[in-house]
Amino acid sequence: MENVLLVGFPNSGKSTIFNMLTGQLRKVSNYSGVTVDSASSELISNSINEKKISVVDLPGVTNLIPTSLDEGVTTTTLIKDCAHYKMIAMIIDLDRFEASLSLLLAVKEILNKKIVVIINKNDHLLFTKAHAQRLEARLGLPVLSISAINDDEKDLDNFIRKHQNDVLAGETLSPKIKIHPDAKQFMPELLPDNHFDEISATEVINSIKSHQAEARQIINSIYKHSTKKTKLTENIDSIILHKFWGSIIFVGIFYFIFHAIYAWAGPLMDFSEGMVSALGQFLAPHMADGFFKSLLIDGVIAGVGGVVVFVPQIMILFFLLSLLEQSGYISRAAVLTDKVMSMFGLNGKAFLPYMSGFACAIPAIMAARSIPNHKERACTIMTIPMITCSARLPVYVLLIGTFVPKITYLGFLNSQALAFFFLYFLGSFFSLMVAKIFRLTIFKGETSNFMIDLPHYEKPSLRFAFRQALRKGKLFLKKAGTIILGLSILIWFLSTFPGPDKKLTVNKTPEQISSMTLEGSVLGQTGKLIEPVLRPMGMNWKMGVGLMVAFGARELFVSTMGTVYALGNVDEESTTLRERLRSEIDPATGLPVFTTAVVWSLLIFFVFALQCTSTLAIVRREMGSWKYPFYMFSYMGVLGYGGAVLVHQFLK
Amino acid sequence: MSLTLADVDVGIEVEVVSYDGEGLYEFKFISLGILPGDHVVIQSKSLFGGPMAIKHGEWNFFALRKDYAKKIIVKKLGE
Ligand SMILES: Nc1nc2c(ncn2[C@@H]2O[C@H](COP(=O)(O)OP(=O)(O)OP(=O)(O)O)[C@@H](O)[C@H]2O)c(=O)[nH]1
Ligand SMILES: [Mg+2]
Repeated sequence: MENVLLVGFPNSGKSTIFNMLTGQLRKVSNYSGVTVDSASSELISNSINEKKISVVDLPGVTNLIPTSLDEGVTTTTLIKDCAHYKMIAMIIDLDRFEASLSLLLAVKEILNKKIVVIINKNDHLLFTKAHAQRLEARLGLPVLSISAINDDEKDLDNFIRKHQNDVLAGETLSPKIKIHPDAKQFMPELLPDNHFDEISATEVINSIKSHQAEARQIINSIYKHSTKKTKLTENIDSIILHKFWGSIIFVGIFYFIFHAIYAWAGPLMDFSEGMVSALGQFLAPHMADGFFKSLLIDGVIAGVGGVVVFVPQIMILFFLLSLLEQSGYISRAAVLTDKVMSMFGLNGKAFLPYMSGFACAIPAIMAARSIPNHKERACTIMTIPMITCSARLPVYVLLIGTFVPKITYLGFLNSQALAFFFLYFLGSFFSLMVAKIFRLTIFKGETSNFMIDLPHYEKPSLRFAFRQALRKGKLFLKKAGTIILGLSILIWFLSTFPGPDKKLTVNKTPEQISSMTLEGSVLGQTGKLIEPVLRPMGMNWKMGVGLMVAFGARELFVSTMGTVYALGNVDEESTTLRERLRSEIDPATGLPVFTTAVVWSLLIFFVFALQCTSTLAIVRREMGSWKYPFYMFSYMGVLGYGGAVLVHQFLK
Repeated sequence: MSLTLADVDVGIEVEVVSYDGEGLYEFKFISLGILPGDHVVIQSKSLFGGPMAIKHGEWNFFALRKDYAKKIIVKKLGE
C-alpha cells in the first residue's frame, strides 16, 4: 500500500477531497480547525486498479510550526512517518491562494518528497489550464485545479495515480525541522528522537515571511483574483456581525433550531409512534399469551420502539446544524459570543467545541485540541458534557411533550418549545459558570488571545445536509437495533423474574398480578433498595431504575420506561408510552405519579448528570489521566442530584 | 504613542507597519499572510469591546480580540 498525505491550510477542502476519493464520511464544515486527528483510507478506485493507494486526511495547518495540538498532529505525521508515505498532495485554497501557497513552499523546503499540487475551490473555472501550466513551471511540481464540491473524483484519482509512479532522487527519510522551543509541547511524539533544530522565534518568523513573500510574487506573476465572492461576504457580514442586529440574529437562529426540532418533529413523531403501537396491536392477537409474547410486545416493541420514534428529531437537528456549518456562520457565531466567553475565562475558540457538543460530547471534546492554551483547553473539555447533546433529546421531548401543557404566547412562542429551549440554555449556562469557577481555581490563568479567520459564505447544499441527517438517523437506528435492543431484552428479564409466588396470585386481577410481578422482580427490588436516595428528588423506584440504566446511555431511560410501563400496564387502551406515563396513578394517594415537580426534577437531573460512559473514556484519552473523568463525573453528579432535589422541593 | 489597529474606526483603511510585543504575536499574523505593508480595513466592532472583524487585502476576513489588535502598529494611508 502506498500512502498519500493530504496537507493544506485549514478549511481548504482536505476532508472533502478525502471523502470524495475514499467514499468516507469525515466531518466537513465551513470553518477552520474542523479536523483534529488523522485518518487513513483506501481509494475507491483500488478495486479496479492493481496499484493500491490510500490517502491520509490531516488537520489543517497554516505553517509547519504548530501552535496547538491539532496542528501538531500534521507536523508530527509529516516528519515521523516520513519513510512511510510516498507522496504529499498539497491542497491549495483558491480563496486564500497566497497564504496557502506559502505553506507549500515551506513543506517543499523541509522535505524532499514527491509533491503534487491541487488547487481547490475552482468552482467557476477561473483558474484555467493555462494558469496551471504557468504555476507548474514556476514550482516545478505537477498542478491540477478542481472543485471538490462540483467535480467527481475521476480526474483527481488519475492525477494521483499517474504521479505516484514518478521517480524522485534523494528522497528525504529522516528530516529535521527548525522550530522555536515553545512549539515542542504540541508534538510530544517527536521529542524522543531528536527531530528538531532549535532556532529563535525571530528566525522562525523571518522564514515564514520569506515564504509568504515568495508565494505572493509567484501568484502576482500568473493569476488575478476575482472579488465577487468577497463582496457578498462583506455584505452579509455587515448585518450578521452588526453590533446590535448580530446578537438578535444569533438568538433568533438558535431559537429557531430548537423550536424546529420540537415543532416540526411533532407530526412525524405522532406518525412513527402510531406505527410502533400499530405493530404491537397487530402482533398481539396472533400470539399465544405467555413469556414470549410479553418479551416481544413489552420488551422489544415497547423498549426499542419507544426510542425509535425519536429518529425524526435527531435528523432535524443534524440537518439544521449541517446547513449552519456549511454556510460559514459558525465562525461568526464564535466572534459574537467571544465577549461572553472571555467573561467566563474562555477563549472564543471554545465556542466551536461547545457548538459540536449539541450533537455529541465525544467529537466536541476532541475538537478542543484546537485551543492552544492547555488550561483553557482542559477547562473547555471538563465542561462540554453539560451542553445538551442529541442523546438527551428523546428524554426531553418525551417528558416535555407529555407533561408540559401546550400554551401559545404572542402567537408564535410555544410553551413546550420554550421549556425545551430553556433546558438547552440551562446546560450551556452552567457549563460556562462551572468553567468560570474552574478558571478561578484549579485551571487559573488569563484568557489567551483569540483570532479566527472568517471564511467566505457558501450557499449550503440541502442535499449534503440531508445526507448528513440520514446518516445520523441510520446510526441512531443501528444503536437502537443493537445496544438498546439488547438492553431492552435484559431489562425485560430483570423486571419479569423471579416472578410472584403462585400462592399469592390466586383471586387477584391480572392488573394486580402484573404489578406484583414487577415489584418482586430483580429490577423492582433493586429499585426499592435505592428508593431512599430517590425520595428527595420525588422519584419512585421505576424512574430510579430508568435513571440508573441511563448511565449506560441516556436514551436507555426512554426504552426502560417503555418496558417497565408496558409490563405494569395490562389494559390495552393506552398504547403509547406517553399515554401510559400520563395515566400512571400512585396507589397510595390516587393522584398522578408524574406531577410538575417530578417531571422537572427528572429533567434537571438529565441536564446535569454525566450519563455517558463513552465521554468518560474519551476524556481519559484526551487528558491522559483518569483523574479528569473522575472529577467530571463527580461534580456533574452533585449538580444533577442537588439540582433535582432543589427543584422538587421548590415545586412540590 | 503610535497608532494601533485597536484605535482605528470602522470603515477606515490603514497600512500595517509592524507588530509589538513578543515574537509570538507576530507569528500568528504572519502565518495567516498579514505582512507589514499590507492594507487592512475594520469591518465591524462588537458590543462591549468584543472582537473586531477586519478585511485583509481584497480577499481575506479575520476577527480578533481588542488586546490583540493593540499589538498591531498601523498608519493611515498616505502618511
Ligand atoms: N466553494 C467550494 N467549497 C468547497 C470546495 N471544497 C470544499 N469546500 C467547502 O470548504 C469547506 C471546508 O471543507 P473541509 O473539507 O472541511 O476543509 P478541511 O481542509 O478538511 O478543513 P480543516 O479540517 O478545518 O483543516 C466546506 O464547507 C466545504 O464544503 C470547493 O471546491 N468549492
Ligand atoms: Mg478537514
